[in-house]
Amino acid sequence: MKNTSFILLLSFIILCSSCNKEYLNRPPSDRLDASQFFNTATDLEVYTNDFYDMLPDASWYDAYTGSSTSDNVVSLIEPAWITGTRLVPVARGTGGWTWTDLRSINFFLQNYQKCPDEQAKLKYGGIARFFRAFFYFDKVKTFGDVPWYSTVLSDTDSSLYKARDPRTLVMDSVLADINYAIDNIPAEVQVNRITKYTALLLKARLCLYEGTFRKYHTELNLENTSDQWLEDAASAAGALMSSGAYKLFTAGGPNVCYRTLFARNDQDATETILARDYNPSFGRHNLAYLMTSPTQGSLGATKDFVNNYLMADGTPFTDIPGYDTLGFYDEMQNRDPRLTQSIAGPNFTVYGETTVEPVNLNITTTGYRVIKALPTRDQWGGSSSYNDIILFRYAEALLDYAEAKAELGTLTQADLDKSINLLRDRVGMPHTDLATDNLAPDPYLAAEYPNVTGINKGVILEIRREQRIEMFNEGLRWDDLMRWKDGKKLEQPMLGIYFSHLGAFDFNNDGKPDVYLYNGDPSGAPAGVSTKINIKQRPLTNGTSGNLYPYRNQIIFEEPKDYYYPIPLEDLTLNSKLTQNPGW
Amino acid sequence: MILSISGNFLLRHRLPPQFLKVMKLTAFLLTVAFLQVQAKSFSQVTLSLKHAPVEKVFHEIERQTDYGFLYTKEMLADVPQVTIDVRNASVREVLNECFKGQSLEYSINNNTVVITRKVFAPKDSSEVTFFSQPPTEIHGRVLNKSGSPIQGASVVVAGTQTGTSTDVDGRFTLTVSSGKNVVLRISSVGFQTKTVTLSKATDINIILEENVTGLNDVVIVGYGTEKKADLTGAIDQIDSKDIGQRPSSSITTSLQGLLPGLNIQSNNGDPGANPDINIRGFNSINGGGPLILVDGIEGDIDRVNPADVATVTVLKDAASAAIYGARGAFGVILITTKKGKEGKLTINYTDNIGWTTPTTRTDFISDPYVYGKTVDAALLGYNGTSYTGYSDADWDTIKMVSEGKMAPFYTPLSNGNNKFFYNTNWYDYLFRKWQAFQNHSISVSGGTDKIHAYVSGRYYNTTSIQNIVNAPLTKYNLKANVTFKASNWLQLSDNIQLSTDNQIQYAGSKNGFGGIWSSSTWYWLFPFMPNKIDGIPYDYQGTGAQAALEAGSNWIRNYSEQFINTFSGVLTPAKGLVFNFDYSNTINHIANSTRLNTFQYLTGAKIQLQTTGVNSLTEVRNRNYYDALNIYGTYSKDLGRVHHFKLMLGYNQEEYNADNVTAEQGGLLTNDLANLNLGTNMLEADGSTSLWAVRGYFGRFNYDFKNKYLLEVNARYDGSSRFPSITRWGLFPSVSGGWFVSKEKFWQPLKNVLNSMKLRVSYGKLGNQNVDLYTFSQILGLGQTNWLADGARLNYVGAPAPLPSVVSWENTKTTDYGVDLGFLENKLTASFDWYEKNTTGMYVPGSPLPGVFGASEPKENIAGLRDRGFELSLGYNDQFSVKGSPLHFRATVSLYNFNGVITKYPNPNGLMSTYWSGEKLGQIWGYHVDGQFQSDEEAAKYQSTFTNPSKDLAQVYTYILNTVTNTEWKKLKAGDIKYVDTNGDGVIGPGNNTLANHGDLQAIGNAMPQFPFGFTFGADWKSFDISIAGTGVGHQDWYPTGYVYWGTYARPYSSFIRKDLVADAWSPENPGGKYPQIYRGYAALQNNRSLYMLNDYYLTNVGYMRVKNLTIGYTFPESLTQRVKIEQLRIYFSGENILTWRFGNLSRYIDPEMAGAGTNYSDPSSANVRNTVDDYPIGKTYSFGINLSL
Repeated sequence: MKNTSFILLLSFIILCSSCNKEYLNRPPSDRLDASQFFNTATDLEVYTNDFYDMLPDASWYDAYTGSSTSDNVVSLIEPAWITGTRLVPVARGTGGWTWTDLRSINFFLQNYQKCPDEQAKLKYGGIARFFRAFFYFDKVKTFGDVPWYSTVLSDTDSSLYKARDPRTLVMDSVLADINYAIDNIPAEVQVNRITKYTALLLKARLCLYEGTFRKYHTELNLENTSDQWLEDAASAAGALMSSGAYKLFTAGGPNVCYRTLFARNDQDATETILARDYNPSFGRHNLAYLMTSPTQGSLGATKDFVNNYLMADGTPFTDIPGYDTLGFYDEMQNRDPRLTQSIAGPNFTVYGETTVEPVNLNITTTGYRVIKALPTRDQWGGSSSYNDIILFRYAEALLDYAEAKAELGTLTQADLDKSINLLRDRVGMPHTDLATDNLAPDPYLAAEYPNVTGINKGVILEIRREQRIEMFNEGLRWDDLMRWKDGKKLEQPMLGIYFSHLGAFDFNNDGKPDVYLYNGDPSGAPAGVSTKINIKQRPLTNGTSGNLYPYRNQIIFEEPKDYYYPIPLEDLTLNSKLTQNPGW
Repeated sequence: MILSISGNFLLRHRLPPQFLKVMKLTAFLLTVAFLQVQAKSFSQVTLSLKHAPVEKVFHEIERQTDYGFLYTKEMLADVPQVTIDVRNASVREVLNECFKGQSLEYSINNNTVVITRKVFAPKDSSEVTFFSQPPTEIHGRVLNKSGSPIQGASVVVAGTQTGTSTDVDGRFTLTVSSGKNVVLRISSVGFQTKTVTLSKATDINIILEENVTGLNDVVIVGYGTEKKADLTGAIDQIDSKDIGQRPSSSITTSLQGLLPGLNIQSNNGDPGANPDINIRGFNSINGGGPLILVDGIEGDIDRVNPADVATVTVLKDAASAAIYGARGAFGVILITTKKGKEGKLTINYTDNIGWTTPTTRTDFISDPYVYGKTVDAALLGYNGTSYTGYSDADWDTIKMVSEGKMAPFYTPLSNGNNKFFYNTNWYDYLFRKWQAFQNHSISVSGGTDKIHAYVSGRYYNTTSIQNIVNAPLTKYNLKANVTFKASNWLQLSDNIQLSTDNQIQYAGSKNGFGGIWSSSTWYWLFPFMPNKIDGIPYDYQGTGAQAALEAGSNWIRNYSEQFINTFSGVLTPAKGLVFNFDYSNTINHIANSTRLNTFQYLTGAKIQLQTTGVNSLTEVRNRNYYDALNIYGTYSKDLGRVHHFKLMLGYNQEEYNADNVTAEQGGLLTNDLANLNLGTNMLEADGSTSLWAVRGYFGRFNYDFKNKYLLEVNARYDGSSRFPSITRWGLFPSVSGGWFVSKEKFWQPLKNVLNSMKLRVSYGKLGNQNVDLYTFSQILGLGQTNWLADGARLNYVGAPAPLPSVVSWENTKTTDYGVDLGFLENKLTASFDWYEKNTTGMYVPGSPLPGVFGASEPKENIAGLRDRGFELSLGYNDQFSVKGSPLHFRATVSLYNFNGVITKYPNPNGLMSTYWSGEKLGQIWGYHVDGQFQSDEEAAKYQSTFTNPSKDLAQVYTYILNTVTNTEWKKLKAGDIKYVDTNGDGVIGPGNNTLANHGDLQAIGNAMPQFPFGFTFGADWKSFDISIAGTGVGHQDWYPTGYVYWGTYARPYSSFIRKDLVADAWSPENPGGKYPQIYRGYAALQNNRSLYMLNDYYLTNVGYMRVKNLTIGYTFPESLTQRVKIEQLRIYFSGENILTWRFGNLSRYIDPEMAGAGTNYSDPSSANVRNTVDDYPIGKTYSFGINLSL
């Protein structure tokens, strides 16, 4: 018995001491170590896939949280950058001062040269630099001067604590990045991938931004450098135009095609250069809800924006005497067909349906319901939409081309015919004419953009009108106002539909009242009225008459402060060389 | 067993003579008696004797077998001769035959037959005594029920100073002068005091009854057991009777309030959810819960069948947990389960059926008139529109419908829209008032001298609160524990446990699942809208949840199976030496299926039929495997009667690996089936694994001197795969000591008052390995983009997180001072512990880096945390005679508290967005509110004192001043709360949100529970028994958050609005109302809104006291049950959570426990989490059950 237990005891001891020394080494079996990666074209592709999530999502269009909000659209809750109530963010790395994406891009650029596949290196190196240009373009738009980093920072790196680099240096680097991308990404037509064409359009966009910003923001003393940027913008847009890879989407004709382009579920590569794909299985977006909910978004276009649409004959609407006191039905008649494809007109039908919708002003702040990119009704609930969202489309290249040329002073009628007038053709509008435009600049537009001067004043204003209308709610308007140094435009009251009196209104001229305005007591409302408005709660500009006036606080746009965003307090505390933007 | 032998033993042949040299005979025999190890007979005996002395039989057996005998001549002196005739019988059979009717018995130890006098139950001679002439000497012995001597018992002649205490054999001698009857009081720690009246006797046996919570109880400790009296660490234990028969699906909630320092938090009432468990509060910013060992192997407490539980022990301080090293850093819970015992086969059956109902009020406003007016007002104040658009005439109609004077209906308008006049109680439609459950368990146990077994099974089933589709949770448990006594030195056992949880949940919405309690059922359910039209679900503007429920085709099903097998052995190669080994495998398998489906409903003012939803199936399979090996040996040795040593050394290794597979298919070809094979669109295929291993060497040394001075030293050397090899190993030592002050001579005068007193102190260091896996490799992130290309997500790898310079153990040093006291003859016991835990080297992000770094700061072992607390528990046990029958009762009360402070954190700029040195965990920073404006003028005046109100007040009033579009309400109004600019800088705000400048923010409360407590009471009398268990929290601050609390103030279209919210809204008619006017819809929705920002006005004390359980039972008299061969039959009623008292003025719609559960004590970062209570309500349960024993 004692022997047996001794043997057992011994075997325990052997068991313990013979335990494998590697027992506590457990390297991961489902993860990659950086040292094992960046070897093949697939490795590079898979890494760069991560960058695509840096691109905007549906909030690009989303006036509630996105950058579309401007003088075009009033949402139920006006964002702080519009109302002039932005606060200085506290936490480091917040409020736009976020650098995670750059670290990821630079990590790639620091490691991808390891791959022996030269073709792949050019393509994916180009894509990475496209995204770095995209990243820094956004930083410069937001903050002006920013520090430039082209390597991954370590936690002990002294350059963590450096001062900002000048805008000129950063934008030159951005230009080098985007040029590299254009030269090295293959020329393919793919709606959901970065291609040479995407890079060309980004270049046109950022060069136009930088060129006009330097031209109008004279306080930077960079006016003499603006022409180079404008020429780059024109040449990039021109290259895209002459490539012949894209043309405008015209299916269905002038009265349908513009709306279909955005409302359809799936994008194709006719006009669309890059779109964010949505489908019911992989998450949806909230855009339709913001256009149809009384409690969130409730987007409404402004009267001023609606005024910008020309008459169908090409003359300004604002030339009509009493244009600002016309009733809703009347002001909607004989206008640029894009108007009722962007906001709900008198005979609005839901996309994909044929019966006329009842008038509903409870889901719009201004009364002008935004319907551009509003998909079929089944996609209207909270986060229920899955129509693709266009991020880059060919029309923008045409506008960029015309604007750059006009600002340079080299615009010809031929240039207009191959750009702006193609957009006019699509919706059956008359052509714009360089000489006529410059002969008598539209006084309504001239009042909106007082900084525009020179011989091309008239055509620049018309191009701006075209830009505002064609690119409505596509995430560009705020940037346009900033680069044109037109922030003060936001201080003009943002108004809605005009009502000449209290009582019943027939919005669609069918003989039945649709809207009833009252002061406290709704009891006189005729039967069948689909919207009732108590002017006590939703006031008019002149008491019992005037325009709806949803956001009544006086907006103050401080110059130059409000052209930039503030840097977080913690970052200023942590890096004494970092200075706050002026006025913040 | 008692050995009432004097004189010398005869040592017969083959018993090694060195035995005598090594140890004292008495001690040896005691050990023999305690171990009760019985040997297998190897050989057989053939005997035929007539009228022979017993000794002759012994000789014969010794001749024929390997056995030797141990006895005294005196013992056999008066034993009658025996006649015996056996053939090929075992030694036992021979001896049984031989000792039949004799006053002797035997036991067999290592082939040695020890003969002793038979003492089944020692006779208590105190009742039959005789007394001789004074002065005389009284001799006696004090014994416990099983006949072992009680040393150190106090024997006092009542009414005099005369007294003595018993020696090591329990003997005492007293000289008494009086000739009359003498009354002796005999007391000892852990025993009930006894009074004996002597009239004649001089030699008596006195048997003391043990106290229920006696110090002689055996307490389970790490890798062994100890007598409670010998404990030096902070350890609490309860046994099955406290928790076994409660109507819970797991023991976790049953433990609530029973053990001081053990925090159990129920976050909601979902029967499938597991409460959080924590011991003594905060340990590490990185979180981490206690180690839970079931029969010595890490296990899942919620998987244990409550009926199987034998004991639950909590090791609270470092000294008692140190033996588990890194795994025990957050305390240890040891659960032992029942085992078979030698003896008769016992069958126990317990059956329990009951019903659960919410603890809170659920009578939300369902009157369509009141509801409609309320939500319309809330929306009107915001944007001037209304949901209903009803005219006065419409309102009159709605009133008639709500009063039942008209049937609900809808009516078309000329423009194709409809108007609705319904009276729908959505809560009752969606949720059950009563959820039925049932629980059946059966166990069989018994054994022979060679094999013991315990086998049990359980079936538990409960319905969910969800009303539309039945969504049951079912649990099955099977357990088998078999022990073989292979020989007198080897015991082998196997413990098998299989448990299965099956749960299905139904929900569904347009775009995904949505939970039963999530937004999908929480919005847009207007009582004036119908839930169905012509039998088809109607959903005005929701996401379709109720329609999906009606279709019953959107569900998540979770099958989870666990199998544990533990093979153990116990070797006793020599006296005092025991080796144990356990090898255990745990296999968990989880199969989780999510089936989303399209469904139909009518919607909108136009009542359009809409088909919506997602058609997909997601299958997740998770397999994890864990194995553990423990080998340890214990050697005990006594030197003389005063020095007791025990040494334990051991080895442990554990490894874990898991893999996960996820696959998702879309476009399934049929709605009714759920199989990936039916999919037409591959959406996802994904996998992951995780691995870790730990290894440790440990040891414990115990020494006590005369059971008076106790010392324990523990050490463990641990390695973990989570750390790089240079920092992989850590040493975790601890020491603890105890002093039985009341055993000192100088204590004797005090002993009548304070019967016993023990002081304890312990100090130890523990490490924890609670850091992520693979922190020391440059791991690239893997995932799938949200971006789609060609309709599919893209796989990506992302940049690795910055590498930390070093990763190692977090260390916790714990000091514990404790005292155990016994009063009133130990009927009243008290125990108090004070402790301090200092955690250093917490693995947290290093000093803040500028945002341009582009990643979270690399972590370092840098931060510190201190947790201090105390625990006090009182117990009382007694009995009275009521109507001639004894009434036993016991009661316990415990109270404890703890506070956590960050002692070190890398935050040089004092940013309040992260931790800082000196931060009190749980502290709530908020604004001061000075009541409500009583008039619009007062409000306007206040607003005008700020230069630019829309900016200066944006932090707290931005909603009112900048967001509201209804101009009438776009300013401060009567009823709004008045935030105060406490620092007078003209702005109400957080300053720089730093310690140096925190603007108007000030500490207004603490989200940590202050003074949690628990109590129990139990009594039995005749056939009746009653027990009560309760728990509570003295004080805890909660800032109300969420839809249940704020209703229309959060979102005007909240479905469930509590009645006491609307009733308490300020209005000119109700100027005392504590909420703003009902027009302030959305004011509690999010940041920068007046009702959402933390302030001292709505901060609520959610302290409470709750009767967790009340059980009343009746046991049928044996005379009745024996007739039908039933050993015991008991019926009982049991109620859980049946009574709740709120200490603060918390609404009755909110469960205080749920409100307070936002702070998870194991996760300090949750200390400032704003808990909403929009969740499955906690339930109270009424149940009836029977216990049946055969």
